[in-house]
Amino acid sequence: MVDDAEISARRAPPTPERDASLKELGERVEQALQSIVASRRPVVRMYLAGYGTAEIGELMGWTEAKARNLVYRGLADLRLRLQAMGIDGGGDA
Amino acid sequence: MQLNDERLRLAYGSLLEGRTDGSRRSHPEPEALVALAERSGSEAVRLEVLDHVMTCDTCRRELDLVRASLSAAGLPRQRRWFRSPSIGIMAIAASLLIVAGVRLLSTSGDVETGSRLRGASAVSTYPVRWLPTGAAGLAWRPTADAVAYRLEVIDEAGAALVDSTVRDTSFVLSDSLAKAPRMLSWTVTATLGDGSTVSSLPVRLVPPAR
Repeated sequence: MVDDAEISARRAPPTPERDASLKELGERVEQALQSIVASRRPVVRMYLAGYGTAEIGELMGWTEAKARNLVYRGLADLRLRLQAMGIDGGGDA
Repeated sequence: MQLNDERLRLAYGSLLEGRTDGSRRSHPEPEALVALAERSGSEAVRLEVLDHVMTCDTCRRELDLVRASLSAAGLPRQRRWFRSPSIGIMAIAASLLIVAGVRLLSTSGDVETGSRLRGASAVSTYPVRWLPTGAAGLAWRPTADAVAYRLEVIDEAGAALVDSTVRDTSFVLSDSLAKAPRMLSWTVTATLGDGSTVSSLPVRLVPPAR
C-alpha cells in the first residue's frame, strides 16, 4: 500500500534535494542490511531491487511461499534495524 | 513519511544508481555465477554470491548472460528475470549458446602463456557451451576498459584457425571447426583503452562425448 505522502513524493518532479534525501536513506538502508541475518540479506536486496517473490524463488530453487516468507522476515529485520537507527520503519509488509 | 516497501525500493535503487563497481570487493569467479544460475552447489554459497551480484552491475549483467544461455536450453526454466534494457541484446547473443551440458574445461599446460598474462588482470573465460549442432559457444567475462577482444583458436601445431577481433564477449565457433579431429584450444586477448593487452589462459576445446 502506498500512502498519500508517498504518492505525492513519487509524482513530484525529481530535484537535487529529493535525490540526495533518497540516496541518504539508501545509504542507511545499506547500513541496516549489513546487520541483518546474512542468509536473508540477498533475498531482501533482490526484493528492494524490484524482483518479485516468484522470481526470487525461481532463482534460488525455492517455492514462492518460502521466498515470500524469507522476504517478509528479512524486511521485518531491516525495519527493526532502521528503527534502531532512528528511522521510521513502518511499512506495508 | 512512512517507510513502506515502495520508499525502501526507491531509496535502495537511488543508492545503487550512484554506486560504481570499482569500490566493491572482488568479483566472484565465473564458475560461481554459473552455479548460481544452475542452482548447483551449496545454497549458502549461492546466497553469498547473490549478495554480491545484487550490488554489482557488472556481475548482475554477467549473471543475466549466463541465465540467458541456460534459458535457451530450458535449464532452468526462465520466467521474467531480466530488468536491464541491455539484456535484450545480450539475450540474443546468448541464445546462440544453447546448453547441451556444462563442462568446465581444464586449462592446457602445453601452451606457452606466462608472458601474455598480467597477474590477476587476465581475462576470465566461461565454460564452453556446446550446441546440439556441435558448434561451440565461447564466452568470457568483460574486462574493465576493454575496447576490443581478439579471439584465437589454434591447433596443436600452433596454427591459427580463427583470429577474430570482436567487441562482444561471446563467439560461436562453427561445428566444422569445433568438431575437427584435432586438439584445439582458444584464448581471448582484451585490448584496453591505453593500448595494453591482457589475455586469458588457453582453454582446450573438448567436444562432449556422444
